[in-house]
Amino acid sequence: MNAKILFFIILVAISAGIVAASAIIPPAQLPNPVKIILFIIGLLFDVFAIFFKDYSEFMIGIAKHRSKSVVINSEVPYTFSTSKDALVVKSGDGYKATVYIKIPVYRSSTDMKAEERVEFARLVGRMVGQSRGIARYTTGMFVMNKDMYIQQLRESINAAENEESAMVASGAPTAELNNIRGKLSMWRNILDTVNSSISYEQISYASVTSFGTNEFEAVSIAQQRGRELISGIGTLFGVQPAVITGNELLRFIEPEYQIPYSTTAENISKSVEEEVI
Amino acid sequence: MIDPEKLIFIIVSFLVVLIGFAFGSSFKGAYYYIAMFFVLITAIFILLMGFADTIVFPALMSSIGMRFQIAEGYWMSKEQNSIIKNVNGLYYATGYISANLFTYTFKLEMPPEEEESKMEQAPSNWERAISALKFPWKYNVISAGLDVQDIRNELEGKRSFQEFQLARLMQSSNPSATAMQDIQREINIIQAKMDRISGGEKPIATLMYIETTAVGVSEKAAADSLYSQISSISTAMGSFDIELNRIKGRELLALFRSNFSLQDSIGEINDVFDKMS
Repeated sequence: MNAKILFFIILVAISAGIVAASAIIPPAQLPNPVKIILFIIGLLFDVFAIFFKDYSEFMIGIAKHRSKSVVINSEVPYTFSTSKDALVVKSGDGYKATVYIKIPVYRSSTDMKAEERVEFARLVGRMVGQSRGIARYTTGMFVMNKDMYIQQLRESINAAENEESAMVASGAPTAELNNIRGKLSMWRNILDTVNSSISYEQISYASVTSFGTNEFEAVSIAQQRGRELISGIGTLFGVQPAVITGNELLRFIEPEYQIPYSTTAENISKSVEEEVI
Repeated sequence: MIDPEKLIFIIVSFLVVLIGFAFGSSFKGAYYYIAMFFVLITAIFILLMGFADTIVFPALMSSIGMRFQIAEGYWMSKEQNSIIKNVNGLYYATGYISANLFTYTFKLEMPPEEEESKMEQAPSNWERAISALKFPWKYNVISAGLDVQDIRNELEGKRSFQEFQLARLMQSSNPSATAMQDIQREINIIQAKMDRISGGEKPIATLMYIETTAVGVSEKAAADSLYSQISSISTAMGSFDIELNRIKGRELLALFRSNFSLQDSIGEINDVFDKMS
């Protein structure tokens, strides 16, 4: 029997026993104030029982910590598999591995006729229904990580500024100076434009989880299920889905990778500046 | 419709209330009223926890300022409606809303012609909705394949019942044309679902939700930003005529964990989520 259900039954039985006993014992043996306190304690057990059914983790955490900051779990929520293509989570006596698959479908309804739209909706339906087990299909907007590009632009600006200083110091001809200043102005304009707004990209992906008695087994089964999904999605949409590996996976699970730090910091400082002005 | 398992838990918990009610009458005078008062409070609490625990528990914990750490670096907000992560002084708040959007479901009560028209509009409605959202978000569909034979039997049972009702109505002295049309419509819907199964489509159970992440320089700033993003999603999704509910408490914790590993079975999903379709 499920431990949660067993615990629920035990608590309800204790509750029923205390409630009945507190009421049955004659006042000669137990004074009424004590009886009523026992009666209320009995009812409290019943309340705990219904709490424990769904909130056992929370209640155990509260009982352990007895403060307003309760730690239910302080462990890392996942680790990467050694092949870096799956997330691994310890689960009971075994492991659960989750594989993420990128689905490169980029079609717009504006390019479709009415019957193509219906067909597309049906294809999405078929995709969602194709997995034998449990699978998750996700589509979403992600902030484009422009950090590398911004860094490259800054380096280009620095290089152009150094070049300009060197040319001024060596007394270079005006035409060459104008040329390098024009280049500098261009890089600065590009940096302003890139920084001025956040860019988004739409990404769709699927994920499947498998259980195994050890990490290797869990990852192997998850990869197998992933391959089945890849083949199904590929056939339906005529695209080539691929397993997501390495740090790219972090974009789908960690919020700071979904919204890159430098882009956000830049945006926050801009909005603070605007508020101050 | 209420989950039968949940109903059993409520009934078992209510047994103690009945025992308290029956034995409580042995108390005399003021003690009787105190006993009955606590029995009543327990009954109300059981009902609230049984039917609205995802509202009651977070409200209770929030009122006493309880905060839960759910993994290394991750906390639940005091209101238990978002997951908070602090990275380099920036706070990321992630919230979830249930959004049963997808028209592909065997529970959908819709005649084939209406479904066709909805499916035709779906891609353009979707694009219109997402183009209005200028922040990161993800739309997730967790699907689980159901047993084809079980669903077919269930549909056949429903169709037989509707046909029996139609026959009884036709035999009556003054059959209502509207009632007959309604029953005929129901039969058509059931037949369409059965045809889809016969055509090779698999029945699935789905859980659909939207996830969005906001960032801020403080936890409150992130939570405020998240609230505004969720409001924008609700507005944008208005064209789909769906019910959007903010996910809280234990369901929020389960969705957070499902980022790293999905549930093992449909039973496990049903246990955790009340919004399964």
